[in-house]
Amino acid sequence: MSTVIILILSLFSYVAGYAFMRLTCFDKPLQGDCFCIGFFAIMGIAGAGNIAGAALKLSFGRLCIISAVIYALVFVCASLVFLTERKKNSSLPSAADSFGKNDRRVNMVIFAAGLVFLLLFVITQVTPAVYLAEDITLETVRTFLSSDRFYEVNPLTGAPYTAGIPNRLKILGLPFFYAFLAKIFPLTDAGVVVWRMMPGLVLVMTVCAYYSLSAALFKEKRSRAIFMLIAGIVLFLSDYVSGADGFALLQAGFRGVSIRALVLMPYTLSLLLRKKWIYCILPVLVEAVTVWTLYGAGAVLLMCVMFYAFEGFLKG
Amino acid sequence: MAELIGIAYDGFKNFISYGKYPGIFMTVAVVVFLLLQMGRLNPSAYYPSLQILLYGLITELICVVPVTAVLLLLYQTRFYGPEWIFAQVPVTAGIAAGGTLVVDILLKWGRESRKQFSAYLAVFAMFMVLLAGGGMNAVSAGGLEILGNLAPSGNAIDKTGLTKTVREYAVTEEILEYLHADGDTVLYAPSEIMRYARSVSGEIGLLYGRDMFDPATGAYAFDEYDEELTVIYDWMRRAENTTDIRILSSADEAPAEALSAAVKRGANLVILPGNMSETIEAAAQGVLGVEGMELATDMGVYRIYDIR
Repeated sequence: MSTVIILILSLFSYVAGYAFMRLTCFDKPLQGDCFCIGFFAIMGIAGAGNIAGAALKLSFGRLCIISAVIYALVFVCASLVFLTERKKNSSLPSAADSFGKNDRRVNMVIFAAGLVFLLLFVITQVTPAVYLAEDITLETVRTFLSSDRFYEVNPLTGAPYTAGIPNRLKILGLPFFYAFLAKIFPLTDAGVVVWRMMPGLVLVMTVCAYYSLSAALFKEKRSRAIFMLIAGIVLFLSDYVSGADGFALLQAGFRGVSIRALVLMPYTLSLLLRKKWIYCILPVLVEAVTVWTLYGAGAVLLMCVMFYAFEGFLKG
Repeated sequence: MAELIGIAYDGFKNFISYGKYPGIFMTVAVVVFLLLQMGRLNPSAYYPSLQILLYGLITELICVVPVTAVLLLLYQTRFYGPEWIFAQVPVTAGIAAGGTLVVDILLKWGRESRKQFSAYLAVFAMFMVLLAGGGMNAVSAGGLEILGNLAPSGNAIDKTGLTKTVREYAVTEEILEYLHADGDTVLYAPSEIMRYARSVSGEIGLLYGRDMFDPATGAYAFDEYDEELTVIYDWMRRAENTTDIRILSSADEAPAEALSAAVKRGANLVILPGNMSETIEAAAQGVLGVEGMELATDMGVYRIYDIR
């Protein structure tokens, strides 16, 4: 079931991202762009829903219905754009940005990179390891599901809050998103959604983000393939301490900081390298609703500012 | 300020203790810039990769220098561990970009100088360094918590030979059997069960949460525990950690005060560790009996007391 949800969300991401890029006339988009931007749309809708639910004091069940309708509408509209545009012009995004036909050696590198990522995916799905320190995601998800209320019940005890919670916490949409998935896919336990499905989805988006980055860095397909292989190995073997990318993927793939490190940062870097400054707003907004950093001004924004200054310095 | 600098330094120490990728990243970046200086690299062809490497070096320095590291810690609101400031450094992207450049240069050199075997050998050595520099599984390295083998239903499977955490999680799942039908269960149990109870079920209520013994999780709410709850927790902590009758029998730590206070505050499912001495067990049973609870099951490791 976990893999089915990952496929559904990946399909949604691709179609929504494709439509968004078509509508905003994104110049020379890649397949990876479609997935990443669509994934941002999913996170954005969840974040907006979470904020609305907390502000309007909606019940969790009602908010799930509203969110499901919004997701469905977005998917229908995006599919219409997707189908219309594909008919008009099939070159976007096309095999032009895929690895395509290569010589035998390049194919071997691509195969090796694919194998590393496949192995990573199997690990996230078969033997998930979960780092629980400082984290109460699953407790929060189960509390939403059992109490049908938003931020009124303390997830750690099940009793109503006596002094409340920081407002910044109410902006974070990930627990709502996970609870929403567990609700609309009733055969799936919330634990499976949080600890197994989400790391798998994050891995898919990580591959897309790193692929976009490779395309921003290298023109040659061989170089891109080598880049992906090395990135895969580093992700696989950097599972040694919290804060490292491999650890984020294999032991905390459901946490906002992991999504930021694995998807938002590399994808933003690819946007910055391609000088698509305006689109950097998207990961900045997604970080605001996924990671508890300084009131929304998170690491991605800092990265954009630093990179912009750095670029100016190099040119100057 | 000194405390913050200490935290930042600890973060850096933790980050480099087990794996060597930040070091490999810096080495790769330095090698690439040396190749650039030696004229072996056409900067215009690889401009974006050089940008990433330089940017990565600068951000890594920012994370390592205590003053800037402290600023970053404050920026991430000190909520996350100090290691997470290293998320700002594109280590994976930097190693991959730099590594690709090195491979490109080596292969080109091999073609031009007809020393392809040497070039392949050098590429192979580079990959070996990459493999040797990493580390698998933070659990063995840092003793972190791990939870594995979740069956589709969310149940822990293969209960033989599981890690301690998985075993505790599985035991906590068994406790679900004792949830009251009216959904009004309030649990008082050893911390290894209290830790996972709310992850296993949202239906179960706890006398106190994980934030009692995992202070970092307390940042999610302004709620605080009063003195009595601390006494209740403290007694259970002693009970689960010692079998020494002298410690548990001392006047201020006898079961009466903590257990009756727990029941009076709403606990209607009490789990006691199974390794308590008979004397303490009898005393606890007496107190719980007065409060209307009786032994529901003896799991060996734990004894479950439920409301009559």
